[in-house]
Amino acid sequence: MFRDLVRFELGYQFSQTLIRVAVAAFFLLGFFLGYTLYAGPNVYRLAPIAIAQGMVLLSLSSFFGLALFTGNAVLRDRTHGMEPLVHTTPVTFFSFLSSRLLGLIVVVFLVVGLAGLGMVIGGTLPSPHGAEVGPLRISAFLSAFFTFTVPNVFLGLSLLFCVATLCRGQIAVYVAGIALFIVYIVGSMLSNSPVMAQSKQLSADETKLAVLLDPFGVFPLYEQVRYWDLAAKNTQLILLEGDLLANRLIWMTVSLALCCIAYRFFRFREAATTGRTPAIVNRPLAVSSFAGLQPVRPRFGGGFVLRTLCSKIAVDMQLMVRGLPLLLLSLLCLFLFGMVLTEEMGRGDLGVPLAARAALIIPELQDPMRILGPLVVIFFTAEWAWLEREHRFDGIVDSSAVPSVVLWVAKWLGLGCLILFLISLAVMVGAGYQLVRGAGIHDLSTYARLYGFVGFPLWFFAGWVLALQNFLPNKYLGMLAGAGLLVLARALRNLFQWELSFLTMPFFPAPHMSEMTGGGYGDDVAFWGMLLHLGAALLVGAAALFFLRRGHKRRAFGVMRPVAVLAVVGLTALVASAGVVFYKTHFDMQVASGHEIEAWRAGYEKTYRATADRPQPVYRAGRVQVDVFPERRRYQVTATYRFMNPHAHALEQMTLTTPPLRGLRCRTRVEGANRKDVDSRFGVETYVFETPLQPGEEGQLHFELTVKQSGFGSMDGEHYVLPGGSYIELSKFVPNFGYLAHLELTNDPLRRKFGLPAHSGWGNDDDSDPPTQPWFSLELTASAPAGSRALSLGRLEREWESDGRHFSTFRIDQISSHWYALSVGDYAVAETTVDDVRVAVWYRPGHEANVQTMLDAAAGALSYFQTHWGEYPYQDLRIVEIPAFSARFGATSYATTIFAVESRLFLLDQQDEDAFNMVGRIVAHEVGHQWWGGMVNPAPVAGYRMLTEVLCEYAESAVFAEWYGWDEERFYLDEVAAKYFFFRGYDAVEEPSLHRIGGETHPAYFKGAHAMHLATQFLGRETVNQRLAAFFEAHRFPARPRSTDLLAILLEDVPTPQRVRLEELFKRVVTYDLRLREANRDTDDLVHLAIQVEIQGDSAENRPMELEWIALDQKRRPLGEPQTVTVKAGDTAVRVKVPLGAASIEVDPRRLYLEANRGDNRRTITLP
Amino acid sequence: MLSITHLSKTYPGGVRALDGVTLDIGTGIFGLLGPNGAGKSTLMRTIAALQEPDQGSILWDGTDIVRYPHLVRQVLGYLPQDFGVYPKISAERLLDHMAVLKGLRDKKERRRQVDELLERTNLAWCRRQAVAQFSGGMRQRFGIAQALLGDPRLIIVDEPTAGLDPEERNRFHNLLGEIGENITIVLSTHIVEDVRRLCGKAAVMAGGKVLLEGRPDHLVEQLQGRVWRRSAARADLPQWRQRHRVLSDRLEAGRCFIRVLADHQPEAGFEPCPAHLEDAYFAALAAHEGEVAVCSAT
Repeated sequence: MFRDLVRFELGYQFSQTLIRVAVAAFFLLGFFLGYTLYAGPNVYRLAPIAIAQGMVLLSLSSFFGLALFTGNAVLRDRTHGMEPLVHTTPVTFFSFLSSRLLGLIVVVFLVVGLAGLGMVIGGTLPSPHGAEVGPLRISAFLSAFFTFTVPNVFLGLSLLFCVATLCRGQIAVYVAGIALFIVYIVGSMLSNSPVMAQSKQLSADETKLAVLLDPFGVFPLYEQVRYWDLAAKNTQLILLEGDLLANRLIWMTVSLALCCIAYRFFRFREAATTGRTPAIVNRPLAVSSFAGLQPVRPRFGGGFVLRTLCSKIAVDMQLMVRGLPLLLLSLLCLFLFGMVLTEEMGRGDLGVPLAARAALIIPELQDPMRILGPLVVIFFTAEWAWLEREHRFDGIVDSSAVPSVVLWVAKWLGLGCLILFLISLAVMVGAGYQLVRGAGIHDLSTYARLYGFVGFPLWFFAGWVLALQNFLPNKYLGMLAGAGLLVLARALRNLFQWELSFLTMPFFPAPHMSEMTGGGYGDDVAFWGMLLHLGAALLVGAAALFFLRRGHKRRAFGVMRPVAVLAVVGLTALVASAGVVFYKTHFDMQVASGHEIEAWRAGYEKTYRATADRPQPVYRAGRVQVDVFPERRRYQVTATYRFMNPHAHALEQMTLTTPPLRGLRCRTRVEGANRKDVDSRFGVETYVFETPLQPGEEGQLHFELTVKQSGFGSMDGEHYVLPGGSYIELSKFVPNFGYLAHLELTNDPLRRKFGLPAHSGWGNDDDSDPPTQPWFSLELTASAPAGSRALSLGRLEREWESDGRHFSTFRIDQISSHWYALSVGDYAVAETTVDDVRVAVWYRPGHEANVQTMLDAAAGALSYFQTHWGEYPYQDLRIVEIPAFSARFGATSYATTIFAVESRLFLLDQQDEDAFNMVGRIVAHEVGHQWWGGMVNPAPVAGYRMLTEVLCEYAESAVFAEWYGWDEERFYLDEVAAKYFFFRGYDAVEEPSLHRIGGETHPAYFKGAHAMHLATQFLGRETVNQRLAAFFEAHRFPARPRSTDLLAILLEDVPTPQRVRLEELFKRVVTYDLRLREANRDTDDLVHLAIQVEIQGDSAENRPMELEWIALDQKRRPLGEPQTVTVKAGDTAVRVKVPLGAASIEVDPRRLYLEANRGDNRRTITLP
Repeated sequence: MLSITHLSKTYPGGVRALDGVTLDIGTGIFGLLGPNGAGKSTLMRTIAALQEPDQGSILWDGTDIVRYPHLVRQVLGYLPQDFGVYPKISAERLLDHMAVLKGLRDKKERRRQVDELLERTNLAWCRRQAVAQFSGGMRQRFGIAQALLGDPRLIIVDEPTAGLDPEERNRFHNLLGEIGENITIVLSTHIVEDVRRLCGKAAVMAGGKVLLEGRPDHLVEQLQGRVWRRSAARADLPQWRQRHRVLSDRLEAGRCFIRVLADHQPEAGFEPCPAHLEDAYFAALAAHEGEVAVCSAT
C-alpha cells in the first residue's frame, strides 16, 4: 500500500502546474544566484566561500517554495474537501504521512537540485563587473550543497510539514515560513554575515552557543572563514568538521524530531477548533411566514461605493487578522525588531550603544522589514485574493450589487491595513526600546517615515501581487509569480546595472537619515520614486480590475468608469513622476550614475595618467566666498587663489582640473595666462602663461563655482547640501593643479573591466621627493540662511547678518596642505580654554549629551600632546557636528577643526560611566591628527598612514592609558586585534607591512594600535613620547617625512630581541597563535604548562621567544607580576612555580603578541 | 420579466452546458427541472451574471443584463447550490455585511431588516454565533435570509433543499411560496415534487436544452389517460423496457411497480393510473435521450 501511495503522490505532484512552473522558476533563480555569487572584493566568484554563501541563500529562497509545496501536499485534502473521504479509509497514519512526506521530499529536492544546477551554469558565465570567476570545481558545489542546502531545506521542510500537519491551516504554514526567515536574519545578524549591514561580532562565550544554535549553519560558516585571507577564500573548501559538523548534526536531528512530532500528534479526526463541524444544535424553523416582510429599497447612488468598501475591508480584516497565526506573526516580528535594536543599537562598536533616537532606530528597523515585508505581502495577498473562493462564498458576494471596483480596492486597502499594522509593531518596538533605554519618546513623529518609506513601497508591491493573483488560476502560482517579480526586478537591475534605486521592486527609499536635517538625503527622490510606483500600481490595478475575475468571468463590464479613473490617475502619476525624474536628471542637473562615474574616472585616468609627472604650480593662498543655499540644495563659490612655481625651472603652462561631477560647474580665469585647451568632459583646462612663470614667482587664479545637488544619484558623504546640515569638503571640488590621482579607480576587478592595469597604490620608497610644498593660507567667508551658520577652518574673524543671511569670515595662515572644508547647520556651542587655546564644540541643539565629554577629551588630549610632543600653533580647536550622511567616517580632522558625525559621536550613548569612552577616544585620535597629518605632513608615498593613523592610534592610547589605566587599554587591544583579523580576510591585495602601508585602513588602525602598544611596553611611555617629540621637531612641515624616518628614531638603540619583535610589526606581516594546552598541577606550587605557538607570515627564523604568563585567582584577578618562560614555535612544555591561590594561568597577559584568538590563552589549573 | 433567448454556453473541453435555451419567466416561482448536468446551474449562474454566455441574450425588464450585469445584481437575491461562509463571523455581522453590499446604506433600516430576517428564519437566537458552526438547515435559512436582503425583484435559488430533512424542506418551501407572490423566483431542482408544489411555471432541461416548458398542471394534463401501471419482477425489467416506454420503476411495500407511457393499455395486467408531473418529466427526458429513463426510488 505504501508504495502505491507514494506512486500516487508523486504522480499527483508532478501533474500540478505549480510544480512544473516552480521547477523552471527555481532553475532560473539558481542561475541568477550563480551569476551574482559574491564573497567580497577580489574573491573569485566561484570561490568555495562564495558558493557556500550562494547555497545558503538558495536554501533560504527555497523556504518560500516549501511553503507552497507543503500547502499543496498536506493541506490539499482540506482545501478540496477530500478530508472526510481520505481520513475514513483504513490507511495508517504512517503510510499516509510518510507517503506525503516522501513525495514532498522528492519534489523539493528535485526543484532545489535543479536550482543548484542553475547556479553552476550561472556561476561559470563571465562576470559583468570584471570580477574573476575562478576555476570551476564541482566538488565545491557538491560540498556546499550537501553541507548547507540539503540540511537547511530538510529542516524547513520538516518544520513546515509539521506545522501544516498539526495546524491544518495555510496561514500557519506561511507564518512558520516567515519564522524561518526571521531566524535566518537573526542568525546572519549575529554571525556578522555580509548580508546584514553593520553586523556586530559576538563575544567568545556567546559565539560558542550561537555556532551550535544557528539552524542554517550561517554562523559556523562565518566562524570557519572569519580569519581566512584572500588566498584561503579563493581556494579552501568549507570543511564539514568541528562546530560546523556539530551544528549540521544537531539540526538534522531536530528535523527528524519534527517529523516524529508530526507523526505522533497527527489525527484523522478534525481539530475541535476548525469551525467546520457544526457546534450549534439546530432549532427548526418555527415561524414559517414572510408575510409582511418589509423590503428595504437599496440605494446605489453616492456613498454606496464608500460604504461597501468600508464594510468589505472590515469583514476581510476580521477574517485575516483574527486567530493565532497573525498573533504568532506579530510575536515573531516583535522578536525580530527587538533583536535588531538590541544587537545593532545596544551593542555598537566596542560595545558602546547608540543613543535610542528615532532617527537612528528607523534605519535599523528598515533593514529587516525590507527583507521580510515582501514575503509577508506575497503570503497574505494570496490568502486575501482567494478569500471568497476558499470559503465558497464567492457566488453570493459576486452576485451582489457590490461594485467590482470595491472587490479589488477593498483587498488592496486591506493589505495596506495589514502593512500598517506590521509597521506599527515596529514603531511600538522602537518607541518601547526608547523607553526601556530611558531616552523618552520625544521624536515619535519621526516614525512616520517608516510608514512612508516602508509601508507605501510594500503596499504598491501588494498591488502588483494582487493583480498577478487575479490573472493566475491558483494562488500558489500567484505566489510564485509574486516572488518571481521580486527576483526579476533584481535580476534586471543587476543585468542592466540600473542605478536609479526606484527601478526596483519594491522600491524602498534609502534609509539614510539625520536628526540634523530632520530627514533623509534623498527625500525628493523618495517622493518621486514612490509617486512613480503608485502610478504603476494603479495602472496594474486598472488592468486587473478590467479583467477582474468575478464569478467565472474575466471581464467585468460596468467597471469602465473606475477602470478609466484608475488608469488616468495612474498614468498621470507615472508620466508626471517619470517626467520630473527625467528633467531632474538630464536637464536640471546632469546626474551621473555610479557606473557612469566609474567610466568617467577610468576615462580620465586613461587620458591624463601620462601627464601626472608634468610640473605644476602649487597653491599659496586662497580667498574664498561661499554662499550656501540649503533649501535649494545648491552653493556657489567665488574665489581668488594665489599660486607659485615651486620648481627650479620656469613653467610655460599649467593644467587645472575641476571634475564636472555631481552638478558642479566652474569658470576659471588665470591672470597673465591664456586658456589653451578645454576638455569639458573631464574638466581639464590648460593655461599657457603669457610669460613663463619663474621659480618662486606667483600668479592668480579666479574661479566661480556653482554646485546644484539633488537626491538623485549616489550619496556622497563628503559633499552634500541639505537644510539643517550641509558638509562640503570644498578643496576637493575647486580647481586643482595637474593630474588628480585620487580620481583613479582603486578596485582592480573594476579596473580590469575598463582595461586598466592593477592599481599602483601609493608608490614606493624609491619615489623622488615631492616638490616643496609651501604653507597655504585661507580666508573663507561663508554665508548661510539666517538661523544657520557656516563653520570652517581657522579663527573666526568676523560675523554679521545681511539680507537675511548670516556671514562668517574665517582665517587661517598656515595649513600644511590645500585641504579644507566647511559645514552649515543650526548650531549651539560649548567652549572651554586650554593653554590659551579656545576649545569649542559646535552641535545641534538637542545633541548635548556627549558635548562635555568631547570638551574634556579635546582639552585633555591637547594638553597632553602639547606637553609631550610640541606646541599647538593655533588659537582655536573646534569640533563641529555634521549629519549622519557622513557616517562612513567617524570624524575627520582639518587644521583647527574636526568635523564629527552626529551618529558616530554625538548620538552615542555614553551614560554608563563604566562603558568604554568611545567619544573621548575618537576625539583624542582626531586631536592627534593636528600633529600627525597636520603639522607633520608625510610624503604621499607608501607608509603615509604610518605617520598619520598609526601615530594617532598611539595618541589616543597615550591619553587614555593615563586616564583609564590598563584594563580599558587591554579591552581596546583585544577588540582591535579581532577587527584586524576579521578585516584582513577581505583584503583585495596582499597586506603590506605598516611602514609601507598605503590606502589600507585596517592594518593602519588596528595593527597600528598593537604595534605602538608593543613599542610602549618595550620602551616605556615616556621614551616613546620623547622619540615622537624628536621626530616631530625634526620632520614637521614643510618637511615631508616617510615612515622610515620615524622608525629610525623610534627603534634607535632598542635591544635586539625587542627590536626584532617591533620590526615584525612595523616592517613585516607576522601573526601568532598562542595556545595554553595544559596547565596541570604537579605539586602545590608547581604547574606543568603545555604551550603551543604558531607563527604565520614572514617571521624571522624559528628563534626562542620570551613568553609571559601570569597566575590568576578564582575571580581571574592577577596574582603578582607576569613571569617569563622561553618557548619556540611548536609545542613547549615547562614547569612553573605558581603563587598560593592560583586557579588558572594566562599566557601573554600584556598582549605582546598579535593573535586572533585569545580565548585559548587561559586555562584552569587541573590535577594531572 | 426575465426573457432568455437562444442562450448557449460551451465550457473549455467541449462540454455544451447550454444549447439555445429560450425562456420567458414572469412573476412567481419558475421551476427548472433536470437531471444532474442538465445545465440548470449554468443557466442560473448566467442569469446571476456570474458567467457570460457564448451566444444569446438575457433581458431583465428589457435591459440586457449580459451587457450590464450590475443592473441585475441590483435586484438580485441569489442562493447558490453549494455555498460556504466565512469562518469566525457571526450571522448578524455577515448578514449586515451582505446588506451593505446590496445597497442598504441606512443603518437603522439595515439593522431592522437584518433583525427581521433573523427572526423569521429563526436564527435570532444564535445571531452572535459564527455561521460556520450552523447546521445544514440553519445555513440554508441563512442563505435565504441573505437572498432576501433589500428589495430583490429576482431571486435565484439553486437546489436549495438539498440536504434538508423533510420538515425543514417543507418549511423552506412555504417560505419560498410566500415570497414568490410578487417577485420572480427561479428555482432549480431535480426534485419533481418541489416543482409541483411550488411553481406556477416550470421547464425541464437536459443536455443544455429546454425539453419542456409550461404550467405543471398543464404538463400533467397532457399525459392524463396515457400512463399505465403494473407490478413486475425486477429481473424482468429489461424485457419490459424493450417492449414498452417505461417511464419509471418504483418499489412500493416491497413490490416493484413500473409506469409505462402508452396511448392504449399496453397489455394485460396494466392498469390506468393518474399522470403525475414526474411522468411528464421522465417522458420528456426519454424523448430527449431516445430511451426511457429509469428512476429508482426506494
